Amino acid sequence: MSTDLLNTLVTSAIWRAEQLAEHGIDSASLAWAEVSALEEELAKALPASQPEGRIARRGAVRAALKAGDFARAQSLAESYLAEKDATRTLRASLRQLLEEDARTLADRFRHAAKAVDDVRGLARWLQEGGAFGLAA
Amino acid sequence: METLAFYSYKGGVGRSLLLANAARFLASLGKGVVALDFDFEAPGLHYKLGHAAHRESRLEGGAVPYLVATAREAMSPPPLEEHMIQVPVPPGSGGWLRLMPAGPAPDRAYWVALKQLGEQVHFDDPSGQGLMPLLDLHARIRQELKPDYLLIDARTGVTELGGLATTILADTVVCMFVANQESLDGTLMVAEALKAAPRLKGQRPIRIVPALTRTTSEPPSEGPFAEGVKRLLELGAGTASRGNKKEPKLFELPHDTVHGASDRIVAGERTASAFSPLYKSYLELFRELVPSSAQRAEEALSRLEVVASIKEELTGGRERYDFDDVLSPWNASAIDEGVSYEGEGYGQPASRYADLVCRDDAGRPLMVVEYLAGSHKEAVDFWGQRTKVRCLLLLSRNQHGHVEREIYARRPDEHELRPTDRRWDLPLPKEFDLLLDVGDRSIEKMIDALRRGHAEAAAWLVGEWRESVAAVEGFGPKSPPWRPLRARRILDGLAATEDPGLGEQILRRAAPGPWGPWHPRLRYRRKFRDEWGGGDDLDRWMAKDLFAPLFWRLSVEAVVRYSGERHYPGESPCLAGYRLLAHDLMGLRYDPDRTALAEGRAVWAQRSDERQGEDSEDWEPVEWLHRSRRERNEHLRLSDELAPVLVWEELGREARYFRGTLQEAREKIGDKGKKQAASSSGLRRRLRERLDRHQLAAGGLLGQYDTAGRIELYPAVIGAAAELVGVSQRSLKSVAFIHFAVLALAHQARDLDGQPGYGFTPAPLRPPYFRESPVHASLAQCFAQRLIERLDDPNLMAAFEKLSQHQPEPYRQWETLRKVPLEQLRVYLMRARAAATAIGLPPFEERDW
Repeated sequence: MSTDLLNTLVTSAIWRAEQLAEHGIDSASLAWAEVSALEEELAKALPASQPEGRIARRGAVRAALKAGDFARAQSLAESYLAEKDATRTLRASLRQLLEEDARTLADRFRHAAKAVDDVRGLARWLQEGGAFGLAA
Repeated sequence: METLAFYSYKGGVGRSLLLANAARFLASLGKGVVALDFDFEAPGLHYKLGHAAHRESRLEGGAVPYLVATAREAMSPPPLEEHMIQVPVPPGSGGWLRLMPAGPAPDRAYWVALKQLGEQVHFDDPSGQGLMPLLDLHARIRQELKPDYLLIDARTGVTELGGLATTILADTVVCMFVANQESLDGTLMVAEALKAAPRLKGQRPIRIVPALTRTTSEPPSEGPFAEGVKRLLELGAGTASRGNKKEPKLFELPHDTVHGASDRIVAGERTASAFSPLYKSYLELFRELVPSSAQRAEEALSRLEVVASIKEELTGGRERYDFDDVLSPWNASAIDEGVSYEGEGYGQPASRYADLVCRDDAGRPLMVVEYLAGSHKEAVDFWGQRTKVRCLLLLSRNQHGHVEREIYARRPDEHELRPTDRRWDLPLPKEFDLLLDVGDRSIEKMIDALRRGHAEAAAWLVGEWRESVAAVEGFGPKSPPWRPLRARRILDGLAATEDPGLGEQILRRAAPGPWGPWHPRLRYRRKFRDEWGGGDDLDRWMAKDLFAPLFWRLSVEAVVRYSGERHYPGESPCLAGYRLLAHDLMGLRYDPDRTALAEGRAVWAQRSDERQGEDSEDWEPVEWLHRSRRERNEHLRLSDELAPVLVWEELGREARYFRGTLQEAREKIGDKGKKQAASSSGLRRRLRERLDRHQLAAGGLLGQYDTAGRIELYPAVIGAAAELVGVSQRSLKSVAFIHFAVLALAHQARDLDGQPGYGFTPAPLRPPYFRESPVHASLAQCFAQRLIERLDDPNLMAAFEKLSQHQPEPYRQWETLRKVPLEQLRVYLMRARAAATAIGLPPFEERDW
């Protein structure tokens, strides 16, 4: 698929997702998931050295976070951060995206704000090992 | 804030009940406590802790609605107060307890909220969106409510929420299991997982406290179960914090049919009824769980243990050091527990906590029991000056940990409570009627109560008598001290009883048996026998040294009542009195039952030819026995009839040659003659004439022993004679009774050969043939004197001696025979008894029936 077509699809998907979110419609997260998927496709087609490639990478991670799929966002960010041609600016912005998400979570649950990183680790432990980690 | 999670691999182990008790206990110690119900699928903590409050306030919140609301309303978690219940705690404790129930279960709204929670909150969401509300709630409780303790009821089994509550939120996990391999293996697996689970930054290692619950017996000490327990304890010990270097201990929570079944929350209560083996175990566990409160737990345990033991003792639940059902214990409904007692009188209003208040039937407080934490003086002043209680029992522990009791008492008209010598025998309800001052339960005071008509005092005195002589039987170290002088004082006190009704009660109490199997005293007798192994011996002592002297020393009216109607089927009057005379003095055997059976058998043998073919050959002797017993009940009676001697005298004036029986003679003189003869002036005149002539013979005048085997006394004549002789009527009656009893026994009792004394035949009561045998009269007086001497009763001896001064020569011969050995007297008696055989009368068994 050509990048032009992908760009067209992404633009319309973003517009759709923003409209859904603005009107509080539940399927907004699905729309953002679609945006993330399209951005990921763009990122595959465009190297990180190009400005469009960097935008696509940031867009894929941001859209995954907006879709509420933190695991995917984290996984994408980790893979983009590992790319050799990723610029310092890209890396910083990817990290910033994840930190902002953590900050949002911390703001929501301010009494346990300090434990956000731990919580995500524990959540992963729970996801992998089940209750009491017995399935790990 | 310390977080304690209560977890069990299997349900039904009493987890919520333990948590509820722990929460209340900690609150009662002045701590701030929050209890959190995370058992979402089967919530119940609000039933145990705050059900009433929950229903009244119609709470709609709880952990589930809170988490749902948190997940929904991204930036504004709802106020905690909307999801919590304030649970009442013991007044004055200074602590507080709040409960966050799972939700308004079992309402439908709760299950809707739980469904939403499942859909919206995923604890394993890697973004932390699911876990954060949980941790936020935990942190929020810590920061906003600032409790000292957060107690979490974790979900049973292997669940995400149960795992999070124990691995992430808890500092200490109480792992509860029951005594089976399945429960233990599951618990062990979870405990190992807890050890390996990650912790948040700054969290100390998790502490595991294993607790074996619902125990009914000792857990096995060998095998897979024991190995599992050992491993579980190692896991617990390995994570012990706060420098606890004690050996790991498995806490056992026994099955409690009372509190466990009712789900009663007893922790924090100061009432004795809260105490149970389960609560004791709770407190021991709390001591371990919350080391900072160990001393308070110890104090609570100590107080409850002591007060519960006192209550048990008061209500007779414990084995008492008693020989009899002396006085009834307190009825449990008469004892109030944990009363904040308002003081009376002028001055500042004041109240004081009483552990127990014992009341009378009208509800008036009689006695207060207080476990003392402060000074004795304050307590004594309050209870003495601000209340009207008659007795105060103060309990405390000395420096060695031993319980000390102090009993204060006063008379109803006194204002101050005084210390008493009583320590271990707690005042019983009846004592408040019997004694003006319950602090002084001396023999004399009890005898005084007896004089005032309290038969219970007789029961107590008899019990004390047994206790005073029990040592004689050598019951070993458990034996009470031998106190013969005390026993003697009791005997004298009982013997001095005037009222015949009370006298009868005394004899019944002093009789050692036999009783029917349904008799209430048997229970005590068996208990006594089991404990001491000498009950039979003591019964013999009692019969001989208590009953027998009382039988002769108490009023004749009391003996007549005692020998009369039976209270229990199969009950027969004790013969110890007669046996004392027959066995110990006269050298004869007195066993009317055996005699009756022998006679019955003899009759059966005579008639056996006529009864051929009948199934049973035992009925006749038994019938004979029953008839004998019925007759024995009428063995002694006080008669209103005119004494035979007076009848003949009266008749002699009118019909000199009358040849009829005594009954016919009585009919002949009629009512007019009887009245004349019995008039006090006439009676006194006739007796005075006899007195002057030393002719105050007993036979036929004061009484008689007739051929029917009955002793009959004539109180009217005895009364007049007593007045003339100058002795008490009661004593003279007893002396006459003894005299005729000797005659009766000389006739009825058997010698070593089993022969009765039919040579000692009663007078036929037919004039002019009636001549009392001088030998018989002398012997009767000799044995009567020996008996009275043995009874050591000065009143009886005085009456006997004074009477005999006015009696014919044979009656006074005891004076010359005083130094004759008893054995020689017995020889004389045997000769006199043999007289009938000597003149050719065949022995009893050979007589033709």
